[in-house]
Amino acid sequence: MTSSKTIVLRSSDGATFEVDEAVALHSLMIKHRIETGGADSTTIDVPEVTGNTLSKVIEYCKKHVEAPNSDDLKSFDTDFVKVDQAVLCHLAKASYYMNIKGLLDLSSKTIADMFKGKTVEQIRETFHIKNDFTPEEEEELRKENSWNLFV
Amino acid sequence: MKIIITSSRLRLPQRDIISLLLVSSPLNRTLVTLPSLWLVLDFHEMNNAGDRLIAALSLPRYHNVKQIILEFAQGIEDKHLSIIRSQFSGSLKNLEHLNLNRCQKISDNGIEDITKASPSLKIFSIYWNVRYFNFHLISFIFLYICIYLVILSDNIFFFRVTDVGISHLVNNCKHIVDLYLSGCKGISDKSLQMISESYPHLESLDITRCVKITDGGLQHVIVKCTGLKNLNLYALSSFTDGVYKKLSLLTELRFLDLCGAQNLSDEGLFSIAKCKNIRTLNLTWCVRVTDAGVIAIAQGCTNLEFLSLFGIVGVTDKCLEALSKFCSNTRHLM
Repeated sequence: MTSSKTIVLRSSDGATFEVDEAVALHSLMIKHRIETGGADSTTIDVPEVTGNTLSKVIEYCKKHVEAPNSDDLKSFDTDFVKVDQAVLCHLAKASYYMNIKGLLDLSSKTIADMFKGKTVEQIRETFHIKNDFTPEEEEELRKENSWNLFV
Repeated sequence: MKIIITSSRLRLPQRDIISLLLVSSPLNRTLVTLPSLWLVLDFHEMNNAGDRLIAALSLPRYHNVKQIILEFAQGIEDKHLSIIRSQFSGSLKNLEHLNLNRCQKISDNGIEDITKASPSLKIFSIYWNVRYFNFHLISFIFLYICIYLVILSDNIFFFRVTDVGISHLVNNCKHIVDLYLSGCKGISDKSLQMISESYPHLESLDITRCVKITDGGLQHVIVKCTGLKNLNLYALSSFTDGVYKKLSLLTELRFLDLCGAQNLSDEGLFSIAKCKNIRTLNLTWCVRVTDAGVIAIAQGCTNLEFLSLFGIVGVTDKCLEALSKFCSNTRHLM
């Protein structure tokens, strides 16, 4: 008798995804929008997130809503974050905006683990961050923080 | 990047967080303004720890540091703590947790300085602050009377941390909840009296091997610190049932280590059995205990999870039966 209500989520680039309401509610942001949205809450815009990322987010939510106690949840999560660093960052951002704690923790931790033990240069390379310090500034910073290194 | 860092609550080692500071200036600006990243300074096992600590505290981002770990660090001495007090007091106003475990060169003077600078301290740990030789006196005596060395040992050793250090702690830090003084053999009943009078809300106390302490000292703590949850009396063999019986006053007690309590009898255990919340009880080498005492514990401490009866010949399978009957959670070892 209970009809499984569906919600449509629309990404920043206009892609639409129809999902079960229960899955959509895994995002507390969407939950809030639905609860405060009133009658026309069947299509929800998620302008902070592109279609590619949104589809991955939905995949995560589906698994966690539909089979929260399954034994393979852990391995699902482990495999889920075996993606390249750029995708991981998008996932982290998306889960932050959509308020999906589990995914935020998972993606953030994976990224944080990628920092571990790396030198400054390696971090820049992995995350494609430009070094905009002057040599003097960088030297000053290194000196200022040399106390933390095992010599 | 900011999102990632704040949400993962960066449980990255100190070294990695600081590496991130050097990656780029936007990242640097972002990280420096995230207060949660700069609440801990960890120098465990590092050399030149005193100099390192001073260098770190001179950086503005550490001016709200909450925890300083110097466990097993080398090169940390009273003189460093004195400098910190005179130059960086402002940075330690929020310090809540100070770990000076195994910092063997810290004495009462160092404690005076660091506690003066850290009024908000809640957890203070200085275990294994061992004594040091007075070499001149030793070599003199050694020439003549080797045996006497043993007899006179208490007089020729000096303790770095004594009741004086504890008096500085109680005068300067009014909010201590956890106090770990394992191995600080210089402290006496006087310290416990001061502790009991200053910290009625104390939750954890470790006085392992503080052999100068007698029934009287411990009684002060038991009577005044009724909220105590963790009490470690490991390797303290001079207490008697007189004080053990008072342990029933500690209704919140969850952890009790009585390893080596050779005078503890079943009488004492009957009282301890009234501490209903005990989860961990160590009775290793409590050689006067028999089945009767352990059965009383089984009946009284129904939340028991860990129990050690190692080295007690007077207990038999009888008490095991009682334990399995009354304490469903116990994993015990004999």
